[in-house]
Amino acid sequence: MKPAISVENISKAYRIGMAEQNESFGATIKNTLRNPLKVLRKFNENYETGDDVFWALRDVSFDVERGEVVGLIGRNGAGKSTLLKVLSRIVEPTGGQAVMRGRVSSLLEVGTGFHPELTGRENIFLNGAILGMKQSEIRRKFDQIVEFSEVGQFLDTQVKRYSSGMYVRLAFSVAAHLDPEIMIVDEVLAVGDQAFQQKCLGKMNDVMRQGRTILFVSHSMDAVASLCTTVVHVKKGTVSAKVPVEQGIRAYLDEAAAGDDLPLKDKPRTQKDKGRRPIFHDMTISTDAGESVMIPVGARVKFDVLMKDFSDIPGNLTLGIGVSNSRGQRVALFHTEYHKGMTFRGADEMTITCDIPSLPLAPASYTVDLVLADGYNIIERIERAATIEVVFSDILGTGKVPNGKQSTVVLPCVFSN
Amino acid sequence: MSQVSLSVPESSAALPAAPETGATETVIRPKKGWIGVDWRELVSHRELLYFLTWRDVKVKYKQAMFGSAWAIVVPLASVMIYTIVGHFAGFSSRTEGTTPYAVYIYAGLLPWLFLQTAINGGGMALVNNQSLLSKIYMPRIFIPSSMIGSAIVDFAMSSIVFAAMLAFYTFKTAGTDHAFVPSWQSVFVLPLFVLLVIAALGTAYLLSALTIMFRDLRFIIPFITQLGVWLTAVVYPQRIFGEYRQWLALNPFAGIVQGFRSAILGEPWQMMQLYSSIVLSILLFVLGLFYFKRVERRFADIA
Repeated sequence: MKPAISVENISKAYRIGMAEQNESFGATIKNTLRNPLKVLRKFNENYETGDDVFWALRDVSFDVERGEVVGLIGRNGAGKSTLLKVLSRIVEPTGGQAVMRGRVSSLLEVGTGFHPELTGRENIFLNGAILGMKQSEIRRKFDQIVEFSEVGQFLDTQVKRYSSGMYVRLAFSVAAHLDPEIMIVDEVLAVGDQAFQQKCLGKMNDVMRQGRTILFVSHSMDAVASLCTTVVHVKKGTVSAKVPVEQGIRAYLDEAAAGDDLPLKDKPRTQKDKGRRPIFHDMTISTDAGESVMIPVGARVKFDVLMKDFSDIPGNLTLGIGVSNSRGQRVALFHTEYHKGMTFRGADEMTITCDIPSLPLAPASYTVDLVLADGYNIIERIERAATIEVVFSDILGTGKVPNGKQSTVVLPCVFSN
Repeated sequence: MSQVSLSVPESSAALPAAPETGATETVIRPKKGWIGVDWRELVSHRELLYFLTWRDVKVKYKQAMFGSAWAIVVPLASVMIYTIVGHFAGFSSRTEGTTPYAVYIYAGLLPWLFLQTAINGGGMALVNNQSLLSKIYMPRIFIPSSMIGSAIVDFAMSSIVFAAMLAFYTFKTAGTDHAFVPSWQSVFVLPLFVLLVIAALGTAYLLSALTIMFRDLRFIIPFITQLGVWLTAVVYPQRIFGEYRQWLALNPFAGIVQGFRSAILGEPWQMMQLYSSIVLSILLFVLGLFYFKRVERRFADIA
């Protein structure tokens, strides 16, 4: 049987500055006078020449067999999202070809086409149609969708009055009932509460067991490890061969560890509006003894996160500070909304301080991720924004604590006999 | 016996899990040159066009306190304003026959307001729906098309009000020396409406694609409609143009607007303008459609 997805030498080039192509007439006229050929070149599609070309993907080839669940992993900006967009037919490749055998549905954003003024019921039909469902199909699955989303009683409320959790649940529920043969999923599960994320992963497991083919992008190595059978490691626009999950994750973590020494404002990041000015500018980590990334077990830690130039971002924003171990598993999350019920608005400059009275992690190295979100979508995310070293301290009073291999956290207890 | 009974459930159990092989095969590769329209895809996705139209109609009036009453109030208010201005400007004395001036205005504004929606809304159609361009694949031609779809709904409501107005004036002036009766030729409004929709679709395709490539058009388009109302002779008789009247044939919308007046009010037909409108509207539609298809592949890169 032919593979469900055959990707052969797919390339995608962007002309640098293409994002600003929707420039003003004034600038177009000025540029035309200054360099007439350059403006003309905008309208021809010969990317082979010229040095102002950026190859987001270069000669990418791999096959995905029917029923296979493949994880796409790689650093921010490696080209994962571009690859998904090419395979979803949203952007056209510059070269190469891909063949998708079966009905494809792609879920690159939760709730594409949702309209805040419409009710939940109306949005189910609208979103379903946008995702490619027939009206009869939506009618048939309507009850299932509503039940899965758990928003039944608010079905006739305008979606703009929904909490972000309800919104995400409803949006995912529609997408989850598409019944495609090939499913392309970007990291859309990163938002929403834990319980619902579990439910979504469960649903994807069901889809998987029905022999559907899934192409899955995630930064959560846990999710990749639990769902995928093989992974493709995307690195600077090229891909590795398809490898078993364990091996792929190890290669990814090794790659991720390199290049941690850049200052925060220059670190690679994932942004909702690609190429916008960086928001996360600086983060200082300090203990009671002053600024330090060496943190004694159970000590008080303070993160000061400096964000800049985001007054244009609408909505109620949240900041999440995640701590992950060296295997890429998230061990703690400090979140403005979960911990303080706090959301904030865009600003030119803002420092948010997160004061953790005690960080009882076992001695090991951990990485810190920063996530700015608006409840529906991630605005900006930096993985490995910093590395912290949790070091021994005699918190248990015995001169010993379990180390990072034996345990993730160090908790007190009372033994007796 | 036992062999047969064993093999049957096995194969039937395996069947539902395996998706129909090769039922749909999508080939993704760079396209060169002018891209044809995939009519089959448009037909198979026609429900999406319906839902997008339905969304545009719903959303437009949902927030407003008076809701869809605006679909009636807006044309009525425009008619009132132009009628008052027209009286002061002296246009009203230059119309022919017994047609009440307000009716004269409405006959021109009915198609014009539709075209105005196509021009203004068409310009913003893609810009306002960027996530539909950059986060999902769908036949994007449906986005400006659905905008015209919702304008058709407005047109229908506005037509009902116009019909009521015609009836009102017919009763009011019956038996007087300036009795007004709509022409039997009003039936020609139907083919004219088809022409109107073709011109509007072409305009919307062209302007939506141009606006996403050149955002400055957002600021220029309102001037086009403001100028258009005068250059199309919407609120005054074409005779005001005097010897320059023949040039109106170059404006694809002028022939349509005049056609509505000729049909409903029984004014003499301007056949030259009408033929020119038919040719230009079809040209506009073809040009708009193919320009849209040509730049469509870059929408997601730009949006």
